[in-house]
Amino acid sequence: MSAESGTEIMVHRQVSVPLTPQRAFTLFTARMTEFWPSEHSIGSSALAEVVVEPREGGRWFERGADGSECDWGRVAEWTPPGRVVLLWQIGADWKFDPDLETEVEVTFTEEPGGRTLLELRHRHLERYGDQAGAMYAVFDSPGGWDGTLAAFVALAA
Amino acid sequence: MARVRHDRASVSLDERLTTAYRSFRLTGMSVSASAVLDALGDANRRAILERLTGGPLAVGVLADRLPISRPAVSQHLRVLKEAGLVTESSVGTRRLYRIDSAGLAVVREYLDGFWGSALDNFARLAEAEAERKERPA
Repeated sequence: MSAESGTEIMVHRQVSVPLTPQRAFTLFTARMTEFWPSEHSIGSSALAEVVVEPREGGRWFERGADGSECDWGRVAEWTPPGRVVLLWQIGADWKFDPDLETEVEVTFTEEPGGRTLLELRHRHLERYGDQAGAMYAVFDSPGGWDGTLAAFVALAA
Repeated sequence: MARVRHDRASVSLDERLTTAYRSFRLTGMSVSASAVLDALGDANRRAILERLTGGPLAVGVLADRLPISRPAVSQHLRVLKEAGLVTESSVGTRRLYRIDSAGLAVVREYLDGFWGSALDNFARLAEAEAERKERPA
């Protein structure tokens, strides 16, 4: 699942869907709320909506059930229907960190039969390097990483 | 705009990452996560890691700064080492312990699992969407 070059550490995932690139792009960016794993939110209230503003420089944020907004990052590149790049600025402590920029690049490639291959690359995870300590501390907090990791470990076992 | 976080230790960031990546490749996806969880399940071990975020330390110094005995510190360090969370090196006759950036592998594993479930959800949504449009209105 990985394709690192040099010291860049990234996650690479892909999925094929029965939609045209345009429809897949729209579904991914405009209806993120509907596929976002809802336990993953950084706000104080339950996740109500995930918003990607459809333009370069747009915000990427969550809106809580109480109407409060928490920034996740922003739109670095907006080139429908082929590509969108989002900056993910959530630190290892699961809080917005304006100094941290990791990159989520999503490409939509047409496949035979009216399908689209979506490829997601979450790049520059090496930028978490100096946050290792914060990450460990978060294992201690409810709603931190450990529940998800534990579930993941159970699946991987 | 992009800012790379620079390592404050004397080892270069590149070296640390190369080591982390190599160790990740050697341990594979599922090996380290459970060991990491076990290692982090203890408050004293988390306290040791927190002390080490400031830089490498010897066992004796760690024992001075924590309300646990030196043998206990050694025992915890052994568990942390086996989980790939700390590494040790010798400086003269002293052994120094430092945080192992293989912790990055855990971040990566976490995000890999996270995006995996997000894209599974997305595929289900896309299939429902495709069927909806194919049905006559």
